[in-house]
Amino acid sequence: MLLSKNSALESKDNEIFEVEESIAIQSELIKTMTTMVNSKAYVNERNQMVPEARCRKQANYHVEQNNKIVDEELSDWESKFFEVDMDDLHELFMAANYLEIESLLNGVTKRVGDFIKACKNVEVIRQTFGINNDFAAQQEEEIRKLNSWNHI
Amino acid sequence: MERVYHSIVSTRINYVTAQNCNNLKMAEEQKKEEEVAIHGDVLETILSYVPLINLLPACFVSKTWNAAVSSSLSRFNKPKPWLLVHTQSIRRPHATAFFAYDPRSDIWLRINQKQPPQHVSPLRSSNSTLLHVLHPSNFSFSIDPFYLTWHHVNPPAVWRLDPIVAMVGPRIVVAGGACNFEDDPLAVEIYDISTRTWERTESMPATLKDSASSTWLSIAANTRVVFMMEQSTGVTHSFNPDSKTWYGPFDLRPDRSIYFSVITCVGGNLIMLGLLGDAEDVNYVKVWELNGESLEFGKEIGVMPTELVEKLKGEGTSLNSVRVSCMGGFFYIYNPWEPGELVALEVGEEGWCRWGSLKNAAVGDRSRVAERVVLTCSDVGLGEIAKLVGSGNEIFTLLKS
Repeated sequence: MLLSKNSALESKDNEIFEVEESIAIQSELIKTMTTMVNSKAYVNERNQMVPEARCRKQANYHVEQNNKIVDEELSDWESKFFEVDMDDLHELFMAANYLEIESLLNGVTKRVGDFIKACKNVEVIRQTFGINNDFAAQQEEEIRKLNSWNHI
Repeated sequence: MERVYHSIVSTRINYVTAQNCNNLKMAEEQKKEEEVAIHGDVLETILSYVPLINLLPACFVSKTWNAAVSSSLSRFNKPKPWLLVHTQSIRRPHATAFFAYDPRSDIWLRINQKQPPQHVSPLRSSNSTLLHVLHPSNFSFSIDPFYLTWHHVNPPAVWRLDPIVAMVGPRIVVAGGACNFEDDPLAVEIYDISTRTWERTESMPATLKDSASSTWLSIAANTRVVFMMEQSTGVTHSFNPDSKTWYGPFDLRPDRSIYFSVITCVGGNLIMLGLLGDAEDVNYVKVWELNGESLEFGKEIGVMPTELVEKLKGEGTSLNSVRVSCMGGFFYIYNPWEPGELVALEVGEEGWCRWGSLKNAAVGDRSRVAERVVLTCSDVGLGEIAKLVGSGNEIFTLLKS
């Protein structure tokens, strides 16, 4: 009888999640660490703490992803999963980035792309992403002239 | 059950040094690290998902974003030539609609322009970029990517219905398509854009007298020469408006079983697309490359997959003719009797081929017979988008896929 391997992941908030190993290794980071532990060469890496909420989201994402085999169902589910506001997206992005989960990262970047697409003008983008305008007034004017853009 | 126990614990390498700093500073550093700003490759990847038509505001956000847009466009998802589709009702007042397709993001737009006055006459294009309208009292043409600027000039001296009109460098060559009452059906006139003058020149070769119009001839032009191929026979001539010399006839078909062929220019080469077999039972649709100077046969570029040939046929069983519009390595092929289905072909520099199918969003379920459909292609970058957006409010509408 094949025993399925489970990984227990501890988050920053000391909560432990049990996840099937095949799902856990979708994270490149965890995969690397598993390999290292197995070969008894555990190295104390510089790690960031992963808050509990993020970890839970990872686990959920993968469990659901593996459950939904039908393409249409998957894309429907994915659009709902990513229908969150910018702050949540940011969390998801950081977690995906840190844990190095490619599929999650792709989903997040596409969704952020959609956000930008929906922004009507420059100010909205700056507000949504919290970016400061570091153009000197003259530089901005130059760019506009170079490209004769009036309605931005 | 085996447990592999991991501990994701915070251990900063500079923990010891950080300990020596005051708490406030540590909190700040922590916050900065937490707020991994979206920049670099991640920002560029995100931008690669934003359609070109929506990418303008991003250029003005900040210096970083401005650079990221340029970098993303050159590294991750380059701009690709757009397909532009004009439809024109054959009934008065000949309402026109204008649609555009961006293959980079696979999106269709409807461009909401006020109907230009010249559009009460038939809108045509006989090679891939130039749009024109010929009226007894004037000749209007446009060559910019979104046809925002129209030039209105005197008409050619000879009255024509469906001439060949090709842009060759700084000149427009107008040939054939003469009205029945005209003396010379092979008359050729050249319009010089810089001097704004017409010149009558060497007529078309006599062998073309029964096919001297855009109905029978396929046109390809580069900056020096215009090529004209009889679609049913493949017999080709070329004309140099500089030297005012005609060349040919040339037989360019590499295969006897081709029953219909069209040509187009890409860079210095001539691309030929041919239908093999016969109209009721088309065997293949193939694409070849020929040398633009010597007209020597180069190579076969590709063969259209059978399921796409079936799409071109549409509801009918025959494929009598096709039209092609192209720019760069992008080709859009359609059956003028079933314009709703487009076949797209992308040819890479290394010679690879990618075939695809695309629904023409400009052609709706309403009676297609009552509409003229004109396809052209343009190179569209951010500058062109800027001009389009700057030309009016609500100038475009994104169509839902």
